[in-house]
Amino acid sequence: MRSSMPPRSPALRAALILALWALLVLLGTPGLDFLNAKTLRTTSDQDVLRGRIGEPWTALAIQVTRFNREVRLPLAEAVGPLQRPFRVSQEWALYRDGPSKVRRLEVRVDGVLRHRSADAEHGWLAGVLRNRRVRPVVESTCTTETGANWRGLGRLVVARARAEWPDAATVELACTVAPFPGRDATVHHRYVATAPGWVVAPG
Amino acid sequence: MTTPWARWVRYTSRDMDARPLALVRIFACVAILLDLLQVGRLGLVETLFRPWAAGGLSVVQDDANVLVALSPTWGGPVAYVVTLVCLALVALGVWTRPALVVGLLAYAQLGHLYPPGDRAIDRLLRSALLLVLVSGAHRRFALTGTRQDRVPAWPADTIRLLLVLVYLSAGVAKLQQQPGWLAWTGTPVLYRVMGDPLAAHVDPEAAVPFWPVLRVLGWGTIALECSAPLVFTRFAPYWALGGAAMHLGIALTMDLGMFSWGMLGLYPILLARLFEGSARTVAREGAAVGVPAA
Repeated sequence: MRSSMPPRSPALRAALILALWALLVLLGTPGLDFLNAKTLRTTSDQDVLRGRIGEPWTALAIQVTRFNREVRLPLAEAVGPLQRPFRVSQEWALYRDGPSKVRRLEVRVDGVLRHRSADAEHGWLAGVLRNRRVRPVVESTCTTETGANWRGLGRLVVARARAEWPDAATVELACTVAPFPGRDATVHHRYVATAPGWVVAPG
Repeated sequence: MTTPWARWVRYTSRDMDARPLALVRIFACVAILLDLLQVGRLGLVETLFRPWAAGGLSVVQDDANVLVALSPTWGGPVAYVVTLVCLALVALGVWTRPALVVGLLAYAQLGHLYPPGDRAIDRLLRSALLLVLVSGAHRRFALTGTRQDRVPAWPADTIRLLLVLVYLSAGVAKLQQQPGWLAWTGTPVLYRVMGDPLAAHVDPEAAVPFWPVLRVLGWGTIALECSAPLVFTRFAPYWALGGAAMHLGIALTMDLGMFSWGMLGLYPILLARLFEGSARTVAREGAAVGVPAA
């Protein structure tokens, strides 16, 4: 049993680790990950903020956004190519708020409700649609009718429905919305596919 | 009297018990493996890891996705299998370092191929495993290679730093959303998070009577996240208890897949002091019966 500590260059190692930590902290500075290069750049934006929070907080915010624009973002861009092969971007931009409304996905096959989000009685395909890798597509599809991947989601649901009910003639995906706690939901938008073409289209 | 630089050099030259890092190696790989096996069990490999034009789900792929250029149809499924095989080898401690490099590159390709499904937890685990790669943790709890009980501490310290940045980012992001998480009145944000049918399975109707509890839990979440720098102190194991409770709560109420388990997979780092304590006890007891300490 032996130690793997390299016996030489502790100062060099310390310097490299310091550089690594400084880089990680700069790239992942908490609170800056939601700011972009345009934040508080114009005097009109700065005046709006000054009206809301006054001084010295506005001056501080301007300095922070300037640091973000002139140091942090260029650094992130410079090290981007190094992070890309392992896809280890250190800008976290984590989830910070819940949805403002109750949104659900409903799937009907020939008019019969087969799936509704978080509804055990209509749980067909729930394992797939609630999988953590599919769920972001369900969310984006149900948040706006112009989500990037509604065609892919529609194709997936239609393929699974046709495999389950080979004689089916219509598959409908409806996104419903309601204020919390979720009573009186209305359909916000829907997509429909019908036999024999099975092309998914806004309905 | 020592200078700050001398203290830093001494700090970064420490070594530590190899077991926490070896456990991170195993737990992180197992979390990813189970997550990917679930994708396979649901029959989603071709759906998720092929571009839209080849029958997949997503029209969006990253530029760094080189596998689609090689084969739109098979690039993703091949990366999936390579990731599974390599991370299984890493968890077992067989050809660990080459398997980890290849496995992480393949796992990253899955993210480039299907960005909507590659979340912060995936990036964090890949970052942590890159640090494990240079840590010497492949020589503990491994089927092959020479056993090594002590490894440099700086990779574990850097994983701690990553955890601090991630938790602080989450805490500060919540504080930026005002009047939301800290509000005394109105709908508690945690209620909206846990009552979101698209991501959670708490009935929003049934949870209304629990608003006061959820409001306090929301404050507790922010307090926990903003106190993450405690992981650099002797209070780290106590902080980890709070973190574990939070992640278990998330796992019980939400459908976030491996998120909670992946985060908890990094927690052996926070318990490193306990491992050091047990190692000292073993050494002391060994000395008492005449066995030389390692």
